[in-house]
Amino acid sequence: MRRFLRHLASFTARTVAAGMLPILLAACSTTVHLAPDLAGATSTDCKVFGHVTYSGNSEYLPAVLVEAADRPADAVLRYDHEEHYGGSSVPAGVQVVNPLHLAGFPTGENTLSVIGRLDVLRAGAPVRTYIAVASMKRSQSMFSEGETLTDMRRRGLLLVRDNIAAQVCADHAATQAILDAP
Amino acid sequence: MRNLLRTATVLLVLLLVAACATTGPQFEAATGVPADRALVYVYREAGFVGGGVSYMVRANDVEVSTLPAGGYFVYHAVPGEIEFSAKTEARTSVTIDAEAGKTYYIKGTIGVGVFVGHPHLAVVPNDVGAREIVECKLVPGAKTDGTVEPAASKGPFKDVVVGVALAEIIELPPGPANLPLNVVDQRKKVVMERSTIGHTAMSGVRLEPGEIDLIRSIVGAQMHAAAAPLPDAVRTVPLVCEVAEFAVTTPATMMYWDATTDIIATLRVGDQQRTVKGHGVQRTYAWPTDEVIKVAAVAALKQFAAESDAALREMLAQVAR
Repeated sequence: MRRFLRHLASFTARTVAAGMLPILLAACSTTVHLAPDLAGATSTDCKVFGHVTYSGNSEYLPAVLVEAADRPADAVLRYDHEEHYGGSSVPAGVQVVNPLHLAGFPTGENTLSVIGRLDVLRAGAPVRTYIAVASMKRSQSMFSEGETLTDMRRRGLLLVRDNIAAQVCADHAATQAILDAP
Repeated sequence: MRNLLRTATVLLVLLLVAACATTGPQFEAATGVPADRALVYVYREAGFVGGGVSYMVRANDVEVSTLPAGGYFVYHAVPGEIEFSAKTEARTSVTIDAEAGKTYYIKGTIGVGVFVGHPHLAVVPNDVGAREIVECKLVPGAKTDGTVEPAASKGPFKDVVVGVALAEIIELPPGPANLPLNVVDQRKKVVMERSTIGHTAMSGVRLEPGEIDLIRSIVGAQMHAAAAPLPDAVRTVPLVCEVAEFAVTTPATMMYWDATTDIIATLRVGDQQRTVKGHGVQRTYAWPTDEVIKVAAVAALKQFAAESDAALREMLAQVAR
């Protein structure tokens, strides 16, 4: 009987440990979902020429968009991005007394959605629009905060930049034709 | 034993009250925000758990204010990306892309840590921020103005003024360049100082003309030269020069001073981007005079000019294709 109980205790401890490990490992990681999924069409080796309108950090502007003074004055490539933050946390009073948090279970999470949008305009009206969205989520624990929101934002902006660039390149001929039409 | 417990309780209460007493008047909407700035409210709701922990909030690594529970402060941000950060045993940071005339709310909270609470900073929607901040009290002494800190006069000696003639560095164009050039000072901290052993400050250093004006003149002249043989269309493409570092220092040992100038800037035109640098050192065994500092500054500016000239020609040729 004693031997059985010892085996049962050992089995239970191993099962609990195996179950906890993924939760603890996931506690500090950031999950990322990028849409649309371009399924292999990720080449960014092209350029579209027009009048580029963008007011943010130039690092986040897709490099495929090239300012060209010789294009028609109303052929505009307008790029913009926005970030939406969200999150929740376990109340601080609960964090202090809950032993699971002392074992490294998540104490809260932050979400960040980065949206990149490119409008191809003629005569002031959008003729074609490309949108990319990076949705990210990170958890924090008592032992680690994980990636900072600054790093997540940067990662998201680079992902949507490259995704938009890939969308434009997959559609390059049509987009440039819109910009070059008299 | 009972007396000890009583004393400990009184001390604890005093500590908690002292933490709360650091905040000033009740929230009032900020007025007098310059038209060319964004308004940023940084606040933290009152709470018992972690309420005794306050943390220093920095904007682009420059200390702005401590943020106790139930406190708020106002920051007039220069447009562009600004990283707000705080650190105890863990670091938190959030970045906003500030636009002049707009209002942003950054909410601070505290989470459980191993030895001390972890600070959290997050951007919240304006309606949420406006609703929550009304219960907070102003933290006195916050550095509201988000301008890049000018090099402060330090040490017992008068600031040294170093005159630099552009003709010593580049060949000046015959007329005004009139090209679309925008030079942006992105230095997080301005370090222009004469120091001695142990980095003890002796005085500030001022370049005449100012360092950003020197960069503008150098890049403008080179852009003029590089764009001259290219089609007119290329000459209208705007060039942005972001100055990340321009530092003049005089680190010292027991034997000598090394007057040093470091420059780092990023040039962007069209889809092209290059980082250019300048570095100059002049050693002296006597005293870092204006002449010694000038030799190092001119050497760094010459290297910067040579690198930016090559980068501009390469970038404009790419844009012209």
